[in-house]
Amino acid sequence: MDSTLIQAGLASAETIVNQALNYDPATQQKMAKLAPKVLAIEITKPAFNVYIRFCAEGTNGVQGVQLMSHFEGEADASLSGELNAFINVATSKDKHAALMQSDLHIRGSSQLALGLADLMNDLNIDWEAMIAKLTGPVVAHVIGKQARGLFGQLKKMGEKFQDDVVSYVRDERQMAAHELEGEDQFRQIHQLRLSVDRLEARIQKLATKLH
Amino acid sequence: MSDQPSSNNTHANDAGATTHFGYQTVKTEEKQGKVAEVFHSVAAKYDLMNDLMSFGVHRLWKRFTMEFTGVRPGNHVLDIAGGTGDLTMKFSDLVGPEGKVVLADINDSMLKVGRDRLIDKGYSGNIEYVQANAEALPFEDNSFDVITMAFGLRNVTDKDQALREFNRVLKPGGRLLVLEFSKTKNPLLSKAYDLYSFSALPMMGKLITNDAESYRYLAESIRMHPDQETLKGMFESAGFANCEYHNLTGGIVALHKGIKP
Repeated sequence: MDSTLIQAGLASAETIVNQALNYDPATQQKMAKLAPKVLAIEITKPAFNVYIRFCAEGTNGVQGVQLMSHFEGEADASLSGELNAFINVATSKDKHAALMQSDLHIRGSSQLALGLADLMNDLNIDWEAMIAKLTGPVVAHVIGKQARGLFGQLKKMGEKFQDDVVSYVRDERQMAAHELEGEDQFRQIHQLRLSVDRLEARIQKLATKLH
Repeated sequence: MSDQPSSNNTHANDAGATTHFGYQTVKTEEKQGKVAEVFHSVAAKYDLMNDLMSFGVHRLWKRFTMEFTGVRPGNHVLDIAGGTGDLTMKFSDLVGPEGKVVLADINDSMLKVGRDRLIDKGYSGNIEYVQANAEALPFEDNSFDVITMAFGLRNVTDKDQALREFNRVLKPGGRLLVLEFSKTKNPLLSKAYDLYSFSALPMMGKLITNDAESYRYLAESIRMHPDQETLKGMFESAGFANCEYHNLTGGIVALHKGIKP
């Protein structure tokens, strides 16, 4: 892809992120404390790299993050993996835990990568204030109230749908094991793996003695 | 375009050394004055015209250039032919109070516009303004960590001498980045670009700055500028190592990079 198009995409994303951060000053301040660290996001499939530079307030420059397609030098930390692994982390409720359990590979300062996950967990953008800037406070409050009600209903519907699907697949069709059964199975597998590791270590020790 | 001069470089003939000014052949000593006239004429509306002519894309090209500068806090940066200070502004934030940015331009009108713009935006403390000719830089050897020149090299009379000067004032390991119009190899894009450059640009110049000639010169000077490989060779001849270039927007613009060994 032409670098100009990539720059256009990054510039737009950077503007959106930094504009949104203006409506969550607490997260913005925490991000500024990470300056001037750089986090590399290396997507292996499809191949694409983005570098996130954390910026403190410049005279008139970017405050928040700067998104780059190229970085001269070594990033302080890097996260690499397939795009869907990044999406899974980004959309999960507990991003810190999701990152720890994901297939993403962390190099360099894991503190920086996990710190960003924590910041994203705590992200609380005041959308109403953002709308108020365009429409005034009264209209923004009405829109905000309606939106909160709608999102609440959608969230409930989503959770109910998820419960129904789980119940149908697990209980009615018996296509999947219960969570507790699964956990027990995984525990047994884990125990078995530990036993195999111990056995392997003993065999190696014996083999060393024999030689 | 058959009447254009065949060489990009200054050359001698019976009447004395000549060079090109757009498609015209002029005496070498006259080019600097003619280029100066162009920029005195367009300085006041330079930013507006840049945005209109490139549809704002020049900001993306400069953004891409910034990614390759590797500028760090405390660095000394020279933004030569810096004009209205787009790059200087970004450098000023990056080098911080310990660093220094020199905004240099041969044209005092452009320099004044750049200086006023930066001061109006609150930039001061780590920026110096210097009227300087790229062919004879008023700086000591090994002074800068990074030198950038955005859309300036094609206006320089002796480009090889300018590149040697950049090499002289860069610190060992320092990098030169030249962002400049270049040559596209896509025939369709090339035709569309020619049509746009020689019809629309002078018309826009006439409407906005009441100066079609300056923008005709812009289009002609772009066509006379060395292509990507030639400029890379010039970098190497001037003493730069690890030379490379990146095409942007199909090669309409290229970013050349060289490191002083």
